[in-house]
Amino acid sequence: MTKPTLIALEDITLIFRRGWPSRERVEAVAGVSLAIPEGGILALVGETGSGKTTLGKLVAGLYRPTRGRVLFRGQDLWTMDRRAFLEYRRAVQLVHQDAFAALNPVRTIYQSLQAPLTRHRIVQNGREARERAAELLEQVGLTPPELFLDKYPHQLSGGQRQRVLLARALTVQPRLIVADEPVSMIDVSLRLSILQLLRELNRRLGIAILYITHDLATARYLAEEGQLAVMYLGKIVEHGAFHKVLENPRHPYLQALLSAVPVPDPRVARAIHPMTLQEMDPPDPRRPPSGCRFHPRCPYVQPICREIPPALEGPADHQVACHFAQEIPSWHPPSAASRSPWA
Amino acid sequence: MSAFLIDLLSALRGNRRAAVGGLILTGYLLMALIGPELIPLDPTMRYAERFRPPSLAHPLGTDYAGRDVLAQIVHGSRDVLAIAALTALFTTTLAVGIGALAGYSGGMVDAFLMLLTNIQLTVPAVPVYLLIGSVFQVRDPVGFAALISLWMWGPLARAVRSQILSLKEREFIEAARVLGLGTAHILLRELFPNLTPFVVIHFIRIMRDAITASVGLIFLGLAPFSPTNWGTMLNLAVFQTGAIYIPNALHYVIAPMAVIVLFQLGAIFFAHGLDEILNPRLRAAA
Amino acid sequence: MKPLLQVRDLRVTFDLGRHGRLTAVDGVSFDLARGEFVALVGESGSGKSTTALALIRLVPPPGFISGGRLLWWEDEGPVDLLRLSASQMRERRWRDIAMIFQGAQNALNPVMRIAEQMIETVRAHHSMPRGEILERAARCLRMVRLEPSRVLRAYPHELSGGMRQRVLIAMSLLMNPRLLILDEPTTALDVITQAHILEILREIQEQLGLTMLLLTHDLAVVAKTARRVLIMYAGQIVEEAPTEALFEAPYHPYTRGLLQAMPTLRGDLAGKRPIPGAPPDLRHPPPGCRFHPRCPYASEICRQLEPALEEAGGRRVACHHWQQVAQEVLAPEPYG
Repeated sequence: MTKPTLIALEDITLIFRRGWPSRERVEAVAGVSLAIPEGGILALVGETGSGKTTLGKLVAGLYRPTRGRVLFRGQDLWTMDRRAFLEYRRAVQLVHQDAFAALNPVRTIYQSLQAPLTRHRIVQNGREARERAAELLEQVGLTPPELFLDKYPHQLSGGQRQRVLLARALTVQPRLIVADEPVSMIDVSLRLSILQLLRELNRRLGIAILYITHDLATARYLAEEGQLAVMYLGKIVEHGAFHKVLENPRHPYLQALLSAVPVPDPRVARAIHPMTLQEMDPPDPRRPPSGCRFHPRCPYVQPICREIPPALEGPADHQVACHFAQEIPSWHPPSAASRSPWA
Repeated sequence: MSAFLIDLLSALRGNRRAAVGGLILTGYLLMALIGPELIPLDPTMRYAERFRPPSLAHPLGTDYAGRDVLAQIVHGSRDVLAIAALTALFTTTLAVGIGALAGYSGGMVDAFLMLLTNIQLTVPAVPVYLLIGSVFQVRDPVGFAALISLWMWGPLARAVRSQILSLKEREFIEAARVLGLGTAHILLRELFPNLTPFVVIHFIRIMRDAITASVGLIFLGLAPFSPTNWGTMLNLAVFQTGAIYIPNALHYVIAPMAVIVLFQLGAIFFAHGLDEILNPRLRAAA
Repeated sequence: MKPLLQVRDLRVTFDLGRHGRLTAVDGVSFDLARGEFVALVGESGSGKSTTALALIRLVPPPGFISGGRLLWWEDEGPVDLLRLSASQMRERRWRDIAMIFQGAQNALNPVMRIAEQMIETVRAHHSMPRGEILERAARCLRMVRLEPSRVLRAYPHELSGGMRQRVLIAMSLLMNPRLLILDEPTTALDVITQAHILEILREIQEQLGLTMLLLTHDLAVVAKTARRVLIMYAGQIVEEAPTEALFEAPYHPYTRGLLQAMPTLRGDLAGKRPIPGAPPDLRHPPPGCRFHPRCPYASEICRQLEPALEEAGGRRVACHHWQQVAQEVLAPEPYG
């Protein structure tokens, strides 16, 4: 049974114009289409400059697409009336990467939680607001809540602040949380606790998650049963059911990424060499290459790649944007006798 | 808020400059509030006592009509400080309003408001005061304060606009928008509290500027006003009684000047000290 | 192997005024042999960055080195770096020991071309003719897979983050140092760039035979590069082992916890879990073993007595229960 679509991006393009008068255009997102089902998890993987954060903000309604539509339960976000948009604001929340910057430094945790509760009339008075805020803090693992309610952001640790962001997102009872690199600024040993929390929220409360990251391993932890979309320079290059895509990556960029992910096993790690790319460095997003945007770095480049941008093709659960998706060799990690139980 | 004030007071104790400045300003506040009750003003003219040097009976000497200078200073402080405080209040409100609106709205609104601000910054104040003063008669502290504040909000408006521009793009403002918190809330409950220390420091500066402006205008005889105002005293001393030419009368000229300078110093120290305390605290990360 | 740097009982304290005092590095001892690639692993609050800064005596105030010896082996014999005068130490910096700081990609002077910056760096230690310096610079740039003709003329902002990092590595090699310290050299970089830089580091180390000390919080990075690993927690070294041995069988519960907390692309995810709790506040470290509040093996003795770093078959570990941990690892149990 397929769940209904919560958010759909239809051929979204977003172009930033810098400065005024400006000559500089950056096409941060180019022709992206995605669908997130109710209660689903989609991992959006890409590196800096890929446009993944911008896409997240598009979903959160912070940017208006230059072309294309963002549909919330079938309705176009930017043509709906005020009331419907306010409903949307409650349904989709954003959790930032930098929890310190995402909290008002001169407001206590309670005040930051109370604002949306009051604004959306979820509570009737101060007492209820405090109760509800405490409940939310408990839900995200900050117990006892009284210890945190009256503190300022700078008095909390990084992990605690990140949990506060989640609690704040939960105040409006969202149906989708856009989590932009929620654990990249947190210690390695503590990351899973935040990811486990997200997983809990998804399983128990049915909240869909758009998990934006550059780290394929944490993406796998969270979204293994969900979807994976790989972005490169504003375009989606591979997309489908996570485990399927991971088992058989077809796009050279994804293969290069996979070969570059460090493996915590010395034998395997030394056996893997990152796939040789023609150009080691990512290109300038202001001047994207012609045709297939990956062509200057692609080890399998052919003349057609420089001319014609490939479209996403394939079955719904595994699509690839590459002219030679079926011809290029498969990539598998060396299953070198891994002695390590951790790898 | 209360936590903020408590931290502030304890931090003040540590910073010598702020403490000294604070002490001076408190002294003035007390002088303005209860001074006139403690030291009576005797308006009787005793020309036999004119320009007496400082003594036990008259700590700051006497003026051209034999009246006690200290009493005049103390009584004059009420009006002066009232005008300064009111001007700072009006100016700050105007400046924050204009600056925030310009910074947050951007576009045409911003361009227009900045045009007004630039005009205010470039056209000299005194001629404007004269012009407006000649049309609207200024009779009381409130009116006077309103007049002065009309041409004083420029620098703070610009500074507020800058702050808002930089804060506007911060993640917590983005989060507020995604939470559907609305423009009014974002301006008043999210952005403004971040401006508080900044505004407080400017408030003190504006008080200083207001004193200079008001005393200056009265000194130049451009605003008719009460006889005990420091500016009036200076005016009388310099223009009416030629006290600057009479060596014995030096104290009469210097007293109001000194009292103004001391206030400015107190304000500067306090504001600088406050700046030192507030800024690093706000930037503190865990 | 011949020793290069022997750290004995290093102690670094921070004086925070009315907030108290904290000892960020508490009695750390280890050896670096010539031509070794060693990794120093630790998360926030572990003290690893402070340790590295102490090795070149650049601990910023309010921190100061409060104890220990740094025995630096020169041809004539060992020299205690902590006893040298400031100018003697300055001579050795960059010439003998080079360091690339965290986030250093932004340390390049934005208004000077790369060539000029490299010339300046060398001239600070050696008066060498321009031509010679540029030759050296070109060689170092090629070692990090950069094209000298393109890079030397460029300004920093014209280069990508990965390229800037490589320029810094090249600059650190200019004087032919015997020890190169890198603090989180790949943290802000993309995965692909990171993988290439790690390869480059390994190559350089093998080719030039210099000693490298790599600081990181990511154990996976270690697996690829280092021969030996030091694990730091709360200002102390808790485990030291050859890389392969460490991954096969960690002896310290913290190391075990770190490995268990890292999700991977292929392995089983069911056993992955975070380490409960959080690193301690070093102003008031817990009594006994600093890790005990978060340790599933903790017992009464752990709460009372700080475990010493003891030898254990070619390795070192600071844990009262290391044998138990070592045995259990072969059949990893759920953590906590």
